[in-house]
Amino acid sequence: MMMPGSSVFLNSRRRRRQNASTTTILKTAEAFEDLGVSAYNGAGKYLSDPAYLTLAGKIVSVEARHAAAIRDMRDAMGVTGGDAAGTRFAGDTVVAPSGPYAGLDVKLEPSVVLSRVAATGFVSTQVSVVNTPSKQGTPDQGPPSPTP
Amino acid sequence: MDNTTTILGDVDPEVGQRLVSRREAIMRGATAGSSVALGLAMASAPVAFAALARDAFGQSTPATVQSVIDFALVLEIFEKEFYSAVLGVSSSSAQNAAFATVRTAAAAVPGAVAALQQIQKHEAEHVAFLTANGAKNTLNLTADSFDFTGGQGSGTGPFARATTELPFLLLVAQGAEDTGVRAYKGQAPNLQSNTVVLEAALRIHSVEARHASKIRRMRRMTGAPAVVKYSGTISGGGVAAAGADNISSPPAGAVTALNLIYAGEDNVMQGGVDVSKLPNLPSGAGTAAATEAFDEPLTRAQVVAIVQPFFKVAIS
Repeated sequence: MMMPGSSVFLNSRRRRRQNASTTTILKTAEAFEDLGVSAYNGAGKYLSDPAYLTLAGKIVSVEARHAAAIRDMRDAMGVTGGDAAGTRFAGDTVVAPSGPYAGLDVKLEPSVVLSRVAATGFVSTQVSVVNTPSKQGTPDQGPPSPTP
Repeated sequence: MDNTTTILGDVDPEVGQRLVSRREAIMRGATAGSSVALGLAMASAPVAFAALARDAFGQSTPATVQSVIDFALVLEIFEKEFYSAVLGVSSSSAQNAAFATVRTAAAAVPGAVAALQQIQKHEAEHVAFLTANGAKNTLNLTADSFDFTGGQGSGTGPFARATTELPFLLLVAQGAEDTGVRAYKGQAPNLQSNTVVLEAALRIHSVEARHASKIRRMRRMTGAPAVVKYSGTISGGGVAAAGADNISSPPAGAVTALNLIYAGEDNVMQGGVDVSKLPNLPSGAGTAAATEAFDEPLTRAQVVAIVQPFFKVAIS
């Protein structure tokens, strides 16, 4: 997968840029982690093999732990973005605070996830969902975009 | 974004989707049945396809969805009532009174109450959501149905000190959240016959993981050992993964419980591959990192064994 030039590089000392500030890295990390959670949550119903569903479940909860940690770090830095101070780890902007799905985390259908990934500009390889699935689920509820 | 039509998709869109995911998994190193491997080795799509389709549909009969959501409700009521008692908002004055000392200690830690309130709100919402969607409180659980000391009604269980010592309280909260994460993960395959319920359960599952992460960070910032990761992940397995070193002389019963809560979390075999030995891992990424990268499920029986001491009534 091709990752085009950007101000943020993770995991590559050689390509790290001076302008990849902690602030920018954390903001980008939050976007990726929350989007990852919403992607796994929206894709689980398309995994027919219970072994793969379990494997995906093993990963998504780690993504959610990461998302909460990054959000908590930014909380401590004073970022609110619509969440009450001290609650960003599972703030009202990602865990529905009201309505019939109150208490549920973010979730997006695979095609919507790809649109969001494309909008980040971090991936230049064209990615598509083969046979856009249509299994009954819950309404989409994505993390804030753009990330505060 | 485009909708690519494939031959397999024309045959059966759902089967095509399954095949794509299985093929990708196999390419990532998951084990394939010998017939599948043979088909792939022969570059024979029809042979591999037939074998994969058979694998994909070869599922065991799931437990009933109703039974799973009823069980989920039991766990959510437990969590909701626990945090309600801690915060002093339980409908039981006795439960509120029991946590009065530790409540004062929590109020002295910046941000602690706000975090616990957010978690309590979510647990209450989970109870409401499950109830609104058909889950039955078959045991008629109320605020007074619980013994948060882990004494199954004696009131003198191994976690009694959690009502007075904040580090102990947060350790219990961490154990409760991680048990919730593991319980939902274990039940997901039993919900596959109802994709709406499955998806809702997954969305609750990740909320529990966010809670667990925050509790770990709160603990680490208040004296818990380095095994309690700032990243919120579980490192290793058994009582060592609990990070209980900041609890002085933990009761034997608590150690036993923590061993149950984190049993098997040190697993490194994922999809038939030892992920601690994958090529091109960053230096320093060994067994510990491999265990942190994947959370493990618990069976219903394992979960019952963990939480039963906190209930005055028998659960199953």
